[in-house]
Amino acid sequence: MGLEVRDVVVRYAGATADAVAGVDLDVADGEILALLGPSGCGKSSLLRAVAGLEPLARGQVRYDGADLAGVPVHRRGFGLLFQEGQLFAHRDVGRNVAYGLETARVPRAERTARVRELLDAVGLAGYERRPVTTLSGGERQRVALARALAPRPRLLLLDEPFSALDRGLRERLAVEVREVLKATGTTAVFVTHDHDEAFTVADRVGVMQAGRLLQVAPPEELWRRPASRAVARFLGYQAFVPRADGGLLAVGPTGLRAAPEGSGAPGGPGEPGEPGAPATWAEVVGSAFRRGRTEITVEADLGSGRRRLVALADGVSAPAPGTKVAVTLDPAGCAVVPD
Amino acid sequence: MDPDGRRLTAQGRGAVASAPRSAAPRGAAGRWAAPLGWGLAVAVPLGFLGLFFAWPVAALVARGFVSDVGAPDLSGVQEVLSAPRTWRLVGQTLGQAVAGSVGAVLLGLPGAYLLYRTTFPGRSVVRGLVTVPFVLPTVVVGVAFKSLFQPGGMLGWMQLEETFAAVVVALVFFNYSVVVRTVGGLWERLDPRAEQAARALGASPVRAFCTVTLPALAPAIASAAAVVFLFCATAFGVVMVLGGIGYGTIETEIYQRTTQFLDLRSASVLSVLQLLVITLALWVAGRARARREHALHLESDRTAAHRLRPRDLADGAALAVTAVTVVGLLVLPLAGLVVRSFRTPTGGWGLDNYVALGTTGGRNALVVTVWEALGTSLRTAALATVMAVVVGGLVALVVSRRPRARAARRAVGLLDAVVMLPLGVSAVTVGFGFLITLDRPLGLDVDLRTSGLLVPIAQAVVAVPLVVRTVLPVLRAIDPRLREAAGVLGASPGRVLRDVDLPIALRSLGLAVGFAFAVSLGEFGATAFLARPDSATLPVVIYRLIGRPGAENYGMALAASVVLALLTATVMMLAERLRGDRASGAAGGEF
Repeated sequence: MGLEVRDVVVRYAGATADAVAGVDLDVADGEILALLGPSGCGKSSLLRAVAGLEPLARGQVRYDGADLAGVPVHRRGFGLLFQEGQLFAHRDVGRNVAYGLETARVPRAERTARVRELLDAVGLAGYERRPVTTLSGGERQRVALARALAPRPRLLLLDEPFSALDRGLRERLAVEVREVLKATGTTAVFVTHDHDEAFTVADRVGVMQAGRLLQVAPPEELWRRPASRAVARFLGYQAFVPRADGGLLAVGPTGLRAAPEGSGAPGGPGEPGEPGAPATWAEVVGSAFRRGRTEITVEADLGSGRRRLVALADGVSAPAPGTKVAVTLDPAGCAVVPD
Repeated sequence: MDPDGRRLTAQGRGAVASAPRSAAPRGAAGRWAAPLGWGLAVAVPLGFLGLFFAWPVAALVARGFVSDVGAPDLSGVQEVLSAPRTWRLVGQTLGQAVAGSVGAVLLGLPGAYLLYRTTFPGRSVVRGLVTVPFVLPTVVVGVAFKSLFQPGGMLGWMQLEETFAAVVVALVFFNYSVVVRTVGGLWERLDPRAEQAARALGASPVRAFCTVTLPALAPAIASAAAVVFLFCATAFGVVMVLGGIGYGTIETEIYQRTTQFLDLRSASVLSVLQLLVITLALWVAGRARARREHALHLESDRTAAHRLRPRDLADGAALAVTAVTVVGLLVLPLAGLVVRSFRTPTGGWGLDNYVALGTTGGRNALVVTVWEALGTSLRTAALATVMAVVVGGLVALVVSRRPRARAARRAVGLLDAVVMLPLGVSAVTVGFGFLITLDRPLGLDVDLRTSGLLVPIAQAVVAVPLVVRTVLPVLRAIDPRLREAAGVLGASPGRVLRDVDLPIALRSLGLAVGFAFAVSLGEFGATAFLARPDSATLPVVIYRLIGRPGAENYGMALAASVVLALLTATVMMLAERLRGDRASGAAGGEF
């Protein structure tokens, strides 16, 4: 059954708009769901409402069919992982991990075994007696994860758990967290503003904006078929070209390519923006070399007015600003969204 | 094997079994425990302060405006306000407070810079030394400066005995640490990059200091100055010992009108007048503090101290000013006190004065021996500390919360302001109020005045704000998510208090206990009113000895002052050790 969120509204005193404005969401047993959205979109508020840390202005949070209204935080049996871990500085690593077991009155021997098991699972075997102040940022988050998992939460809530870490560590931890969650069969909701992180960790990704949940879908499907222009824009689609059938062609970050030199001048007007359509002339504004590829910024009119776009220029030497290049749409990097 | 059969293996790292927790319904007991607990946490301090602070002070205020037969009567007010003597006293009080705060701020700023913005060997020793005066009993400070300024004293040639200047110097001595610690605490964490940016934009060091650093420090300076103003305006022990005959303030006048002329009516009018002045100062301090909490966002987490560079102009000047201040203003009087205490009444050197502490003084100046008074002091202070820590700890706990409902948030803010009042209302006023209200409180047939409980209660009232100010910053600094993390891990609200708040607060509680004990030990204003001769405390005995003729009594006063100072310093040192390093500049003498 898992988690059911029904028409939930979260409202802060003095705020003009609802932080969460009527959200419905289901998370199946053992599933990992990511909530993706810009900061201030209400994703953290929704998470805190599920945990019982924010009161609901309206709606219901149910788990395994039971309404959680009136069940206080500490009796929900959920786990929560914060951005900075929030370890208890006055307890060592082992006693931090054991905390949830102590509140559940787990016998000492079992507690010790469980702590060892979890520190092992997060790659920190033997760290029991270390003071938490001596740990690096990544180690702290691993301890926080072990602490959250120790009491076997029915649902683990992760609130931007890696935002305070540097990029390389973040990417590594995202993979590890998925492994640990899957290994423990833990149901989880993961809040983040980082697309790569959401797509790495989650089985399904929900996109939130201004308190509303716009779309929930598996990563591949979300990317291939954004439900709306807003979702596509948030995912990084850079231009929207009207199509003959009334929909919009969304041009993704890799949806535009500079034609190799000597491939000929663009043809006639044709159907603008149709994948495979003849190339269009574009004027180069600048170029950058990122992640092993040349990306050029161009100004071009794909059929929705002249605007700045980024095109991949594989096999093309970076052209000087002001020169004209031919650009074509790559169907693999584009999607169709309703207008 | 996991009953769910969902045992999986994380790649090469061993398996973690999963048997999900289930939600437990909330018991009936749990539903009432929280409101009941918080209700008690609010009711106990409010009841205590209401009965032992608000009521006596209110009764006192009423005394000034009601005639003997109970009708409203403003003739007393008119009489007091039209007397030139009143306005001379008001002038002296304000003059003394302004001079004291200006002096403390001018000397305190270089001190704050040196002790919080630079590092040098022995810095922590100097920091500790600077704190000593603040916790020293006022009577001891008075005696120390008196022995310095009197003819034949080390600074006798300055002819400052029984002058305005002598009182102001002693007040600056007292409050120097308030400025150093309050301003230093903020300065230490001030992001140096703002000043560096100003320098890079072409500002000279002086200009960068005046246009960037000083405005950033302004809230802390204003807050410290207001508190010092308050302490100076209500100073009692120092003025009584040092001021001599022609000198007085509203505070000493209240005491004299009550104890010597039994003129309760005009004394209470003066109390009201003083309350007005103090409320104004507290209001300014509160506003400055609010702005400072606002300004905290500009701070960096790490401290920005550099090694002391004596050749650098700024560092050199701060070093020179602070060295002169610490040696001349802090060390000299204390050293002088200790040295003079070994001077025998016959003019030689020896332990005679300390031996005499076992007697009741020359010509039976006292009813009890000084050692007996010390015993009374310790017992009283211990009782007062227990009360102050319980009440102050509860207040700090309640005030550290940020309730969701706006009305509750307002109420918490109000409580925060109300418990600070005893800091400002003069101890003499409190003691006086006790005298007129607690003979048969609430119609009960007990006279608290003779029960011996009155003195510790009065001392506790004075100590409560200090306990609150010591514990509160530490509780407030706890990230709310730490409590949430514990809650999500299954800890009930009560358990969160025990496992998160308590261990962190305990470290500051040690300091709070020390503070409360030291303040109670040295409390003079209210105690002078309430202590009977046979149960006099050490400060009261010292004051009495100073007032009696005879070299023998004077020598005993010096020796007793040294004993009291040593005792207070020891208590504070123990407390500082207890608090650990976490409390940073937030605790102790910062308001």
